Order: sequence, then structure tokens, then C-alpha cells
Amino acid sequence: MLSEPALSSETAVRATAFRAIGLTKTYQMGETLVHALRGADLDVYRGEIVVLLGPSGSGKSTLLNILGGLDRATGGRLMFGDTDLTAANDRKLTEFRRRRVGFIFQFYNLIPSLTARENVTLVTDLVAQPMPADEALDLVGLKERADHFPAQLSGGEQQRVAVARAVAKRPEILLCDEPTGALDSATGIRVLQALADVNARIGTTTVLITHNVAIGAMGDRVIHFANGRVATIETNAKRADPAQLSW
Amino acid sequence: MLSSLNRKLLRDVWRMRGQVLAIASVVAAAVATFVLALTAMRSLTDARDIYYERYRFANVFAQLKRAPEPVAERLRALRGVARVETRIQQFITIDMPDTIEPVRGLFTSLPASGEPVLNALFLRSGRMPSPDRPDELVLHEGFAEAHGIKPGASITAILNGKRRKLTVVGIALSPEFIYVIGPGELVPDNRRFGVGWMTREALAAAYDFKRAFNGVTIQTLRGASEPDVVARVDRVLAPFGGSGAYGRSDHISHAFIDSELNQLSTMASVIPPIFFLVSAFLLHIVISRLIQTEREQIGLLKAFGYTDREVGWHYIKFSLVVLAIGVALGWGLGAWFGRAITTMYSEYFRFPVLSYSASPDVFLLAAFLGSATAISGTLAATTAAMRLAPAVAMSPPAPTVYRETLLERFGLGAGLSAVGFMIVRHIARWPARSLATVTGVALAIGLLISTLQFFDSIDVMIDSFFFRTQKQDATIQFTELRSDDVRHDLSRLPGVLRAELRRVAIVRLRNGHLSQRTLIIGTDGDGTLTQQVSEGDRALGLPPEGLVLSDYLARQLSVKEGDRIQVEFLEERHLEVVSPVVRIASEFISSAAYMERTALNRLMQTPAVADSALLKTDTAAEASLFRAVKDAPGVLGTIANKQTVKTFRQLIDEHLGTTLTIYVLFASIIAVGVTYNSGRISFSERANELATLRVLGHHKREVAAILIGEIALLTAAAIPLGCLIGYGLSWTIITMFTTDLYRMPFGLLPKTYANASIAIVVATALSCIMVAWRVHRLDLVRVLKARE
Repeated sequence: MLSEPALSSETAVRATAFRAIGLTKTYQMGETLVHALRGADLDVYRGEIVVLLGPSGSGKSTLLNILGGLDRATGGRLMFGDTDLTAANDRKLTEFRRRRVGFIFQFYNLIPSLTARENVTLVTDLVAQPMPADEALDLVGLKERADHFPAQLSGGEQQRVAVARAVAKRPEILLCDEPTGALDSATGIRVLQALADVNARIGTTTVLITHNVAIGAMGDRVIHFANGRVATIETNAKRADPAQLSW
Repeated sequence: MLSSLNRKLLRDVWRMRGQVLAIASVVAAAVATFVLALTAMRSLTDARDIYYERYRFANVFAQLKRAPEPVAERLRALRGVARVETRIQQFITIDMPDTIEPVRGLFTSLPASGEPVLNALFLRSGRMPSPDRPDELVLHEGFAEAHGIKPGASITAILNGKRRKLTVVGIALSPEFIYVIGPGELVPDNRRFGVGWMTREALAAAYDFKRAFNGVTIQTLRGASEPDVVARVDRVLAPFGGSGAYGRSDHISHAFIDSELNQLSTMASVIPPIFFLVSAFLLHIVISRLIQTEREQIGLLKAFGYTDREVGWHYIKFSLVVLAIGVALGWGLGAWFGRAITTMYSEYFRFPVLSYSASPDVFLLAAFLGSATAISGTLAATTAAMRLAPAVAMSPPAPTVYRETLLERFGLGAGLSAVGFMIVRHIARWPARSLATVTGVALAIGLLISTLQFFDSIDVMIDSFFFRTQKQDATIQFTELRSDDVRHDLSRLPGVLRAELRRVAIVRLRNGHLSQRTLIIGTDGDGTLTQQVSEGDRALGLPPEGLVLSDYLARQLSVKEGDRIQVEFLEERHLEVVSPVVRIASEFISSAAYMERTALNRLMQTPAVADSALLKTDTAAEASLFRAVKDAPGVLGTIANKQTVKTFRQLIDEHLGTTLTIYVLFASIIAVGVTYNSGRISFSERANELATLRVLGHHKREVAAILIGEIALLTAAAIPLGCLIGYGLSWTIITMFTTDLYRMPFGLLPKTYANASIAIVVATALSCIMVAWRVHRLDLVRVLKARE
């Protein structure tokens, strides 16, 4: 692993998915003003897997929310290709999420009243050329369990359904917030495997937040976050296969 | 210093202020209906009782043809009699220049001493007539107001066929005329019927009643039996043409107040309990779902060492706070509307003072009933909170197990989108909860229907009375019995298309020990202007012999078609005969008996005579008809049907209309309360799910559609059930509303079901807007951070 300054000459030539310049985010929490982001500069390249590492409160979740159009920055700029997301209104952000972004959450957030397949069609209904739901479930190895309701699935299975749901619309961006946080390591690895497969097959730019340093090895780059900004960026010469990870 | 738990309580109340307010308004509606009905009733009862007491309202009354004054001594000597006052009472015609129709009046004599011993006058303005001035008159306030008459003015009255100019010297009220209604009228019409008082001497001179009387008022001794006194008085007066003494219950003014009080007490005993029941039910739904969403906090409190009782008490306190807000609101609303209704009464019921009496006990009772409601509504839910084990409460609830619904298993869900499945399965997953919401909304619809139905009932009543059974345009009342030849004179009056004669006899009907004082109305068998109808609204012809009884009377006397009953004619000679009951007629207003006039005359052993006539007239010639009648000798007055319908409508609209509008308003508050709460709770339970959808890229309207779809589906299911409940409630209320004077028909119109349903749909739409607003403001990041 090599340590390098942000924006190296080698990576600058690759196509950028996101470019964040001096992003700040403050919010009022009771009577104190919380600075969640204090000028984060960052590029995310198309097709790469970026692992965001950092302690609690370092601002990585806030950054992920802003990248995904769930939240707006207080200052700075965020470009998605040629689109200025910092200037987008609520409707545009919804459209952005709808067309381009897939989300995976720590607690799966499946709709309990829908079967695995229906949870997937819930998002495929939103886009023009989605992956068939069964294909998406096949991708995460759950084709057989398509007709099961979330309550009938294990935690790992539920998270894989969440992965299938996120990738089924063939998103350009996949944002994962602690996707293995609620899972044991074996199950977590299966989920990461699924993410890596999707990235390999359809080239989805993937940003993954984790506390777990070991997971950094599966990314193209590992971005360390501290105090609301990017501390260091490591580039992995070769991405590790999730199957080789252990924690 | 507030304990932390109490602080949490206050903040929870503030946080859920929308829902708190919605539940509180439901409680407020229940409390308000109770307070308003009871305080209005109390105000009216108090005003009446005080008035009766201070102005010495008599308890037995009698009219007769004529008796010499010494007969009074025989009455005074009767057992059970405390005080007797004799008087002269005459129906007269007043010629009011501002009214086309002849105006009828009832003049009563004042004793020589000036002040009546019984039924004393309350002088509003002016003075009593001087004993030596036979042309001085005191007028009742209602009539004086309607014609703008003040002391000093003069009016022309026809006394015993002679036109007399009388000077009004005073305006007064009497406990005998709190509700002033002309004979044969349905509603008070102060323009066309007036009450006045003159000196005994003046009336005696005009009607040749020197040292004689034709009316008696009696105060009985405390503890004396009224029926016994009535019977004794009847025996004394029979030879003098006594038409049967009667107690207060048959006194028209008293009976109307009584009937009003009955209605108020029915409203107080029927409507508020329903409101309380509905609000208890709503509290149950809301609090149990609130506790469901607070289970982590409950676990935490228990983990800290709070006892089950403390936790349970915490949630009971929450309901008590909601209740306190509701009770305070209800007190305010109830007192406000109660005062408004009492003020409205003062237009129909003439009291010296009718003040709103806000008896504290009514308010306390309302609060007590409210608390009982709140506690019974929340007990089950709080018990559940107490039973939660700390560990169970702390871990997130097990993921809800959803299954395919029955519909889907039958392949009926094929066309549903994922959102459609979310709605249907959520409803099916919580059948009890969905049923509770449906029941809540249905109860609100039921309440609306049962309050709105009164308007239908009144429509049916008016239609039946004025357009089916009483089809005449005008009724003319003669000053005395006229032979059938009068028909000839009547048909020559301008604009008269048809004239039918009528005779009304005051009777007492008896069947064994049951008896009723009522009227037999005799009309011509071949007449077309009046008819009785059967239960199914079929026209009943008058049989050539025998009686047709109103169904109410038949029930009171416990007779059926074919039975024979005793008829005692109370005027003239007290003839007693036995007559068969040939038919039973369905009637909503009044409860009289009917007979063919020739048969009636025969029973009364008189030649062919009539005391009034029914006319079918040409509307265009109405004014000239009334002018002609005004000048005709022997005519006491006329009643124009169109006018009666108008005054009746007006009375209903102003009086009953106001009361009912208040109830409809409260029912609507309940409707909004129920729908808003179910939408709001559904929102908080599913906030996480909805936020997920928003994150996945669903638009706000798509997400709102899930909640709104669910609310809409439940509301749609509630409508038919609500109509059914409304039908049942309406029937119960109508049955309880039956009084001697009014029986309300039960006739729910389709438009009432429609209106109630529309009102609920509007309330639901309002709630949906509020829910949509919540979705609009949904904080995606915060919701997702929270564990499910």
C-alpha cells in the first residue's frame, strides 16, 4: 500500500464520478453548532471501490449522505459529472437518487410487507432499463428465496436482498453505510463478495463506509476521514478478494 | 421541581401536540354535548320552577260554559283544594291593521283586586288596568313585540260581535303562557295569536257574565292526588258545561316545555354517551399504538429501576393530560353553546328571566365521565406497557412477519404494484388495528348520520302532516257552532275552491283503567282536504261509524283495531258512549282521534253542526279572502296552512337546527380526530419504511400515496359499516325521542348517508393533507439512523 497526497497526477486523468471541493456541513444540535464536515476535498472515480474509514463522528456518514443526495452541504461544491449537486433542489436530488444511486444500509431497511422479489421490483419500477429482479437476486445468490418475506430471511440474506435491490436498477453509484455492521464476519464477507461481484460485472462506482479496517483491502482506494475532512488516501495496488478478508 | 418522568411527559405531550389535540377534541366533543344538554336543561327547568313558584302557577284547570259565582265556594270546599280562582276567558278576534288575516286572541279576566291569586302576571312595562276603566288592556309580551305595540297604543278587538277600541296599558308575562300557542296551531305565531288581560268587569259586561265565570284555576294542597281533585272538580262543574278539568300535564304551555325538557334530557342521555364511547375507543387505539412506538423507552425506564406501576402511571398520566385538555375545551364549548341555546329558548319560552345556569355539578359530572372514559380507554394499553419486560422492550421488536394475504392466494393481487402490496399487506397484517380504525371512522359516520337524520325526520314529518294529511290551504274557526248551511256562505267567499266542515270535540277516551284526554276531530266522509294515513303511508278513508285512532293514542290506551272504547264527551252534558276503533292511523304530530262528522254529531246528539271549516283556495285571491273573512260575523280567526308551514320551518331551523348543527359539528370533530390520528400513527409507525423509499428515489407523492392509499382504503371500508351503525343509532335515538306531542318519524334519506359519507371523505382528505405534509418534511437522514 502506498501513501499519497490527495489528487495524485496518476488518478487525475481517470473519469471522475464525484468531485467534492471544500465541502462543509454544519447543523444545529440543541444549542451547539456541530461541524460535521470542515472542508472535505475528494474525487471519486468511475468504476472504483472506495472504502471510507474513520472514527465515529469523523463525518464519513455525513459525506455519504451528501454524495447520495440525501442531504445538502452547507458550503463548498459537489459535482457529479457536470451536475452541480450543491445547487440541486429537492426534486432534482430525488431524481438523482432515483436514476443513478443505489443505497445499502446497516439495518437493511427492507420493506417488511414485501417479499424479496417485490423489494427489488420496488426500485426497478422506477427506472427505464432495470435488471430483472430475479437476475439481481441471482447475483447475490438468493434466487431460490425470492418469494420469502424479510422476516423469513436471516440478517445476511436480508442484506443481500438489499444489495440486489440497490444494484437492480443498474445504478452508476452504490453507496453503502456500514453494510456489514450488523452481521457476523462470515455473513459479512458474503455480502462484500456480492458488492465486489456487482462492481466487477457492471462497473458500479462503489463508496463503502466502515469501521472495519480489514475491509479496506477490498477497495481500490481507502480514504481515511478525521475531524470532518480527508486525512489520508491510500491506493491499493491490487484489490483483495473479500473471501480472503477476515476479522 | 418536576421529576424527570413528568418532564418527559410534558415534552411528549408537546411533541405529539397534533395528536393530543385531535384526541382532546374528541373528548371535548363528548364533554361539550353533555354539558350543553344538561346545563340548557337545568337552566330551563330552574327558570320554569322558580317562575311557577313565585307566580303561583295553578295545578288544575277547567273550562266550562257558565257557572254562577257561588259555585266557586263548592269548589273551594272540595277535598285537596287549596285555592280557587274563577275567571272569564274568551277567544276574540283582533283587527290588526298590519296583518291581512284575522288575528285570534285569548283574553282572560283579572280579578277585581287587580292581581290574580294564581297565575300572577309579571308586568314587563306599563301598569295593570284600572278597575274603573273597561277599555284598558294588558298584552302578552310576545304579541306586543311581534306588532311593535308599546303601552299607550290602542288596538281594535271584536268582543262578542262588537268592535271595541282598547288601550294597551301594560305588557306582561304569565306562567300560563310561557309557550304561547293558538288552538289548532302547531307552533307559536305571535303575529296571529295574542294573549291579553282585561278587568273582570269589562269582560263580564261584554259577554254578559255578571257574577258568573267560565274558567277556573286551582291550586291543590300539597300531597293531594291530582286525578282525585280533577274528578271532584268535574263532578261540580258538569252541570255547568264543564269540559273536563285537567292537570298541568294537559296544559298546553306546560306540556310544550315538558316536551322540550324531555327532548333535552333524551339528548343528554343518548348523544353524549355515544360520544364518550367513541372517544374511549379512540383513546384505546391511540395510546396502545403510542406505547408500541415507545417500547424502547419503556424498557429503558424499567432497566433504570422504575417499577411497573410507575411506568403504567406515567402513561395513565399522559391520558389524563390529554383528558384535562379535552375536558377544559369541552367545558368551554359546552358552556358557550349551552348559553347560546338558552338564549335561543328565551325567544320561544317567555320567562321574566331565563338565565344560563352553569351548575358546577354538571361540569364535575362531565369531567368525571370524561375521566372514566379516558381511563377505561387506556387501561388495557397501559397494562400492556406495565407487562413489557425490560429486556424485551429494549431490543427492537421482532421483524413483523408478513404473509401473502388471502386475496393473493386466490390470485386476486395480480394487478397490484409493490406499493399496492405494501398497502394491502399492512392492513391485513394488523387486522385488529385496521378493524379498530375502520370501526372508529364508522362510529364517526354513525354519529354524523344519527345527528343529521333529524333533518330527514322533520322533512318527513312536515311532508306527512301538511301535504298528505292536512291538505287545506286555510282553516276558519267559527265563534260558535254553525249549522251545515254555513258551507253555502263559505263557498261564496272570494277564492274558495272547496269548503269542508269540521267539528272538534274534547273527549276522554277510556279503555279499562287507561284513559286519555284528547280531541275527536270530525270531518266529512267524502272530504278530500284531510285524510289519515296508515303505517305504510296508505290513505285511510273515514269509516261511516266508529273511531280512527292515532297510533300513539292506540298504544297509550292499549287498543287495537276492532276493540271498543268508552268515549266521554267533556263539553255538554258529559255524554258517555262506547265506540269501536275501526282503524289505526300513523301520525307524527299530535295524537288525536278521528270520526266521520255526521257520526260524531249523532253521538253527541246534536243536529248537523260544525265549529270550523277547511278551505281549498285560489292562491291569487288569498288576500281578498282574508279581508272578507276578517269582516265576516261569527268568524273567530283563520289559520293559513302555508303560513304555518313557514313558521314551523322557521322554528325548526332556528331552534332544532341550531342544536343539531352543534351536534353535527361535534360529530365532524370526532371524524377529523379519528382519521387524523390513524393517519398520523400510521405515519410514525412507518416513518422508517417511508424514508427508505424516499432514499431509494421515490418521490414524495409516491411515498405519501402509500399512507393515503391505506387511509383511503380503510375509510372506504368504514363507510358501509358507518351507514349501518348510523341506521341503528338513528333508530334508537328516534325511539327515545317520542313524546306526547311529537313523535318523530324514522326516515333516513339516501342524501343523509351521502352527506355523512362526504363529510367523512372531506375529514379524511384533511387528514391526508396533514399526513402528506409530514411526508414532505420527513428527515431522511435522521430516520435512517434510528434503528427500526
